[in-house]
Amino acid sequence: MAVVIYTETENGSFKKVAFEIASYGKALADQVGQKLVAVTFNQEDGSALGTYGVDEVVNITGAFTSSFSAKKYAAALAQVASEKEASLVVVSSSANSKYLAPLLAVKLAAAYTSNVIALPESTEPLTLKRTCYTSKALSIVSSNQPINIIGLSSNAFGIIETQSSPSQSSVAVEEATSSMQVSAVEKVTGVITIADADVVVSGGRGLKGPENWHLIEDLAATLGAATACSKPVSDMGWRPHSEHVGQTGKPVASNLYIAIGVSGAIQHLAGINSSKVKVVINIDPEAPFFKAADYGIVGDAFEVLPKLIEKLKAFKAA
Amino acid sequence: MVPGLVAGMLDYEYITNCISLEIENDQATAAREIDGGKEIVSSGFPLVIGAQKGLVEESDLIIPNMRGIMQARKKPLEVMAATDAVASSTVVSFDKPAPKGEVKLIDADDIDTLIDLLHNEAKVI
Repeated sequence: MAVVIYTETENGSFKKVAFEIASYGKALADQVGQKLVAVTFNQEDGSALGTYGVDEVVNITGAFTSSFSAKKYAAALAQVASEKEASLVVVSSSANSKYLAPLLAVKLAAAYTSNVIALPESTEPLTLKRTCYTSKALSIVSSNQPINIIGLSSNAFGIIETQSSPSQSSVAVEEATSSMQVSAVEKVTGVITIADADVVVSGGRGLKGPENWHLIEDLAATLGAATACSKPVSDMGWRPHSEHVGQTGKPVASNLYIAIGVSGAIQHLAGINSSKVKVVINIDPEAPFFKAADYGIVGDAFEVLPKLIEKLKAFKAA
Repeated sequence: MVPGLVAGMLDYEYITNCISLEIENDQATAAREIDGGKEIVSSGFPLVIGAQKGLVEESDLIIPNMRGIMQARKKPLEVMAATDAVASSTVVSFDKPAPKGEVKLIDADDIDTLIDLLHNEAKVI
């Protein structure tokens, strides 16, 4: 028996979310008194997971592991989970994890509970707290299946260090057949993605045009943040859709979310209310966003932003 | 989650968060949104598509008109019995998120206070 976690990697190193999944997995494994097994793909060195209490790292090798395939990865994870007789499998809320989790659930005949925000309230039966209705409410869900997949909400549990010295092994699995092939990946390089970011800086229609986005980018660069935008901004083509956050866009679960010139429509708030601290800068004191914010500045973005960037640069340098 | 379960149960190919799709002969070429970009994939059939906003351009969206609605009523409608699938989990109760405190308004000329609050109170920078 073991708790199995899927630890995602990118370009040969672990994603930040892998460490959160490992931290959660460790606490879960302690709760049920089992060991913690991390599964990686095409990642020879799994020692980094030893900082988060992982007992065993199983690296899946084979030509197919060089690019992500939900079907093949799910089949491989299912094989390892079955071998380890896992009754609990933990995945993240990344695009890839959400892609493969339902396929994995079918393979393992497991129940899949997504958007989980805490350790189980009980393990017999497994009872989990999750967000629902675009994070407007929480629901307590009880599973009646012997095998369960937990999809952990990003930034809900945090990263907790626990030293361990994991044993590492490489295994070749039976590769699932799939006619699907990845022909290209278009990824913005050199910038931080919204999913990985601790800080997200978001601009709305209040910025008046794409030519003013250098202010958002400057602020984001100062804070080491990802850039985002509201729906009208992406609809008008000022910014790519991949930056659109809100109910129909990307969800944001950062530590700090700074919204500039965004009125705070309910659909926008639905996407960002998992963020811990929200700062709103808007010229309109009646903007609904102020009701959802922790800190607010009523003022003209074109006056406030240059000052904020300058002061933050000084603060960071100090 | 539903399209993925359908694809898994049928053992079909599956593309989620699909934002563009072109079908030529027996090959589908699709773009899927990933964290921080998109991925172009090609696949054979059978295939389950999980659509994402952007799959159809807003200008191409068709709102049903009366004529279309009347025509649709004449189409054959097959009623099938649902399989008696058992839910693998049940909702025990609902809860409200913790209430949020009032917004702290900071003067537009007092950026230092904001930085101080974010650093010392919120501890996020």
